[in-house]
Amino acid sequence: MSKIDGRFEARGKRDGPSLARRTALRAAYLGERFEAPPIEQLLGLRGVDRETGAPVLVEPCEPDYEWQRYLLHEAMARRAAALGSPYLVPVLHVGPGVVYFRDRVDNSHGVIVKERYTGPSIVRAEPPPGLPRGAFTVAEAAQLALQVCTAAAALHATGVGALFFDPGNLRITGSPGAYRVAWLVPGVAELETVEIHTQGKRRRSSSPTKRTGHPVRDTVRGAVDFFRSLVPEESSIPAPIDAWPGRCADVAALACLLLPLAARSPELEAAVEGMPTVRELPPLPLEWDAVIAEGEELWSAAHQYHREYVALPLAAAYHQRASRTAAEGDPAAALKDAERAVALDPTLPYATTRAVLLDRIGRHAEAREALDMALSKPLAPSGPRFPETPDDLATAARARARALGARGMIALRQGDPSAAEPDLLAALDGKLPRPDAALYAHGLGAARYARNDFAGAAEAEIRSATLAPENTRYRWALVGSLRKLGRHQEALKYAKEILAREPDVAEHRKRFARLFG
Amino acid sequence: MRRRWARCTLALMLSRRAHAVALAFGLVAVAAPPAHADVLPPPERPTWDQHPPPLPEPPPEKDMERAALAALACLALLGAAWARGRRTETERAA
Repeated sequence: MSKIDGRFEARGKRDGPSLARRTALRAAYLGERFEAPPIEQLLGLRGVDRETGAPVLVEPCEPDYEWQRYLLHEAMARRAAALGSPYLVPVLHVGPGVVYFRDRVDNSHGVIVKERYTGPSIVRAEPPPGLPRGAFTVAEAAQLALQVCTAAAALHATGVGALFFDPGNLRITGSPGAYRVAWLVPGVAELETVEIHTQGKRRRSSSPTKRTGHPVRDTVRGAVDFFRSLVPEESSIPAPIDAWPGRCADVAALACLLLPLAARSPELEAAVEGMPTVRELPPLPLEWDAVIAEGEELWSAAHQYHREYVALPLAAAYHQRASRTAAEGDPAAALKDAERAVALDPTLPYATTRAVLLDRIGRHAEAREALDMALSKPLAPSGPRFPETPDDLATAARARARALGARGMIALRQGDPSAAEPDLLAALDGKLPRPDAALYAHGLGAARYARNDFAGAAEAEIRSATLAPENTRYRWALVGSLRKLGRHQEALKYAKEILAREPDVAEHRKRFARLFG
Repeated sequence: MRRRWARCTLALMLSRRAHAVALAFGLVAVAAPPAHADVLPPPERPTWDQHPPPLPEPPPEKDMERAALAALACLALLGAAWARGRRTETERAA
């Protein structure tokens, strides 16, 4: 048994957070009297750190149909643990090796048995009970909100965005003059649910913030609502607080507004000065090898009703790894991952990736065949499990445009420009990302050039040069078509733009000299 | 009318066929698989960490200098022919 295996042990038995959540919802809908359940019931289990004897909270991750949620939850916990911010409740351990007891239904004997289970968990230090909100001075409230901004800005910089601001997740500890926030990150959604149904109706400003889906804007709004919930009366705040979320595009901007309200402190000023400005979250990095290994194990062990819940995220993980491996220049290894992704979830984007990789390793005919097969299926997967919302249809249309574009490019490389042209034209009608659209416009230009339609080629190549102005390859192709059409002045203008953009590339200068003298 | 309903109900209560039908319904209800789809949310494709998928290779670059190269090659050939002709003339003269 490793050191970590022996370090934490959970006490008691897990009831499950969903039970507490259901109780809260039932109480809210039926108007029953409802007492908020203790945190260990919502979060998991109470436990002990054997090394220090300190109490801990253990959140077991028994992934099955909730695997996708746990993956993100664990990644966030790892980031929070690495950050080590004094304003976060410390995350002590993330991963396997925590022992706890759970109930299991023994179908062969028709009884519920208690079993010892060693599984993946998140272990945190037990958060202290929070002080009630609503009785702080403006200066104290601003200082606490600045602490929240400091932690949130650091979390945003590492890609963690889903934050909770309710009193259960964001607690205030300490004594007058030395107040400090203790924030649970990753947050416990059930604590917020309980807050909505028990205390939310009492006071408008303490009710949890409505989410818009944009993590940075949601955090700014949440921090403003948190600040508002701390002071007894909103009228005591000097500035019109309702305008703050609209004025601040990131947490650092909000900190600049809060700073004059707090008591002067060089430490706080330095913290605001050095706060990172994050307007769009970077992607939360997941360790794909570990995710795939865990997912394969879960997939083979999952109940048939739950298998799809594992298969979809597992296929996405294979597709992500394939995309990365291909970008690193190993299409053969990427193809294996793409094939597994298609086997787990036969959807058009994965089939397109597989075809692109087949084309890269020289199996052109197979690639075209695979795309023909995939494109012959209906636009969006239908059925009760995949409701066709407008978003789903837009995504499906984009995937189809990408697949058509890929088929067109493969046909072009196989020397079949007449088959490539309609596919590339159809792909350009879809709303594709700029790099994809630029490539397909360039391909369309090449197909038309090969069919001696030089005017059409120049038109498509002007589009590709506009979509990707930094790509000199597309621009040289346009120069070629313009020269063929006898539009030498325009060709010269575009060629000069290439030289101006990349003056140090000798190849461009040589080519320019050869073409224009 | 009322008497007819009463008779009908009594017949149903005593009928073996009615019991058999009820039993069959009960068995079907028990044997049906649990309605998991009602309890769990539908499975979703994740949207995390969107690395752009690989793009197809671009077509080979246009051979824009082909015409210029061909002209150069022609010139070179002509030059060579002329030089050879000159040499032959000189040799003949010699």
